[in-house]
Amino acid sequence: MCKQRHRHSIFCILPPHMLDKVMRNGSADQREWALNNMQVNQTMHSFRVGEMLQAPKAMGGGTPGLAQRTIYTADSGMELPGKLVRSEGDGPTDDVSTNEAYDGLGATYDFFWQIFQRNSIDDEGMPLTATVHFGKRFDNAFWTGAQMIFGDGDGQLFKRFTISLDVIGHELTHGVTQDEAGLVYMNQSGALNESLSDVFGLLVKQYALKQDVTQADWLIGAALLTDKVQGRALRSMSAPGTAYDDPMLGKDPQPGHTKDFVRTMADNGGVHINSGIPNRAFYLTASAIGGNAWAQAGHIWYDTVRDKRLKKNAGFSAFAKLTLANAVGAYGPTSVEAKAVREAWNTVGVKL
Amino acid sequence: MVTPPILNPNGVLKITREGGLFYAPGLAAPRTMMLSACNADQQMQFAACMKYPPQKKTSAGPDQRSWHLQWFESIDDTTPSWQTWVNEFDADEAIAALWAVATPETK
Ligand SMILES: [Zn+2]
Repeated sequence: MCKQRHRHSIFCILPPHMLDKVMRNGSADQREWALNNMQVNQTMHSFRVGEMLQAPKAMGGGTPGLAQRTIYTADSGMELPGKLVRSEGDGPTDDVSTNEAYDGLGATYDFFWQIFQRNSIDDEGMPLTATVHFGKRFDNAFWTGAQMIFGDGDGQLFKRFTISLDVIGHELTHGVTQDEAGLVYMNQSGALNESLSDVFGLLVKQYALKQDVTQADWLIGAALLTDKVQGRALRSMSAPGTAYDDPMLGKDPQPGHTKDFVRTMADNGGVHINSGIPNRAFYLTASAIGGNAWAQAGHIWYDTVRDKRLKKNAGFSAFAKLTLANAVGAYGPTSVEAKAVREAWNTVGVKL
Repeated sequence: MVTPPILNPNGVLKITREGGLFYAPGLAAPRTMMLSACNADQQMQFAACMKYPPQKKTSAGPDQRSWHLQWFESIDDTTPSWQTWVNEFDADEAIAALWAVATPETK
C-alpha cells in the first residue's frame, strides 16, 4: 500500500484486486480506507456488453423475406439487451429512436433481401436486435456481433445515432462482412471492412429514397451532426477529406488517393481514415455506370465480399482485382461495368 | 505482480478516446489533466478512472471504442507508470466526464 503522506485519501487509489488484499491484510485504518474506496467501485452492472459479446448467435427461423426485429431500450444505462419496447409487427411507439431503429433495421433487411436475395445478416434469417438509448450522451453506434447498439449522442456535436439510415445500414453490414469475408479489422483489410459498411450503408439509404447516383449525397451520417458543427457529415464517399473542418472535430482526415494513404497506429491502423480510398473507388465506379448504384456497382461489390478468393487480410489491390474479376465475370471484359471498375481503381491509385 | 499507481498531486492522467464509428482528429487526440488541478468532484472522477486493473489493449469489434488511460508521475515524464484500456461499454461515466474537461494535446 502507498506509504506516502497525502493531503486527500483520493490521492492514493488502488485497483479493486489490490483493495481486496488491503481488506484482508491491512491494519484497521487501512481496512477502513479500503472499504471506503471499494464503495466507489460499486458501479459495475450485472450484465454488460462485454458479456453480451460472448452470447451465442440467435438462430433464425422466420419466413425468408420478412425481417424479425426486436428493439430494446437501455434507458440511458448499459445493461443489455434492456427493456423490450417494440417487436416485429408492433406499431410505432412514442419514442423516435425506437421507431428509427425499427424502420432502419427493416430498410436494411429489405435492401439486402430485394437486391441480393440475402436473408438477413447471416443469410439464414438471423433476427435483428437493437438497443437504443444506450448510456448517457453516448457518442457511438456499433455492432457487437450479436446486436446493434445506439447511443443518444452528446447533443453538442452529435444527435441520436438512429437518425441516419446509412449508419444503421453501416452497422448491419459489419455483420454481413463478418459472416462472409471476415476481413481483419486492421490496416488495409480493416479499411476495406469499413468501406464495405459505408458502401452498403449508403446503398440502403439510396434504395430507400429511390435515388440514382446523381441524386444521392454520398455522405455518411449526414443527419448526425448538430448545427454547431462546421461540417456536413462523418465522411464523404465522393470527396473524401471534405466532410468537416471544425474546431472540435478537427479536419476530416480521409484520403481519396493512395498517394495520401495515412500510416498510423491510431484507429486500428486508420480503418476509418484510409477507407476513403476504396469508398471513392466505389463512388467513381457507380457514377461511371450511372443509374442506381445498387444495380451494377452494388452487385459487383457484393459478389466480391462473398468471393471465396477474398482473403481475411486482403489489401486494396487484392480487393480491387476481385472487383474487376467479378465485373468481367458478370458483364464481360469490354463492358461499361468492367471499364468503370478499371478506371475507378486507377483514379484512386490502386494497382490492378 | 501488478504494481498499483501511487498518485501524487503532480501526476498527470492522459485519456485517449480510441476507435468508434468515425475518426475525428480533434476528438482522438490525447487529453491530459494534472491531479492538482482537479476540484473535489473531479478527484472523485479520477478515482473512478483509476479503479481498473492495468491490462493490455484487446482488439475490439467494428466501431467499438475504448478509453486508453495512462498515468504519468509528472508532466515531463514520457513513460507512463500505469496504463490500461477500458471498453467504452464497460466504462464508468466519470472517464467521459473527465475527458470532456481535460486539455487536448496540441502536438
Ligand atoms: Zn464501421
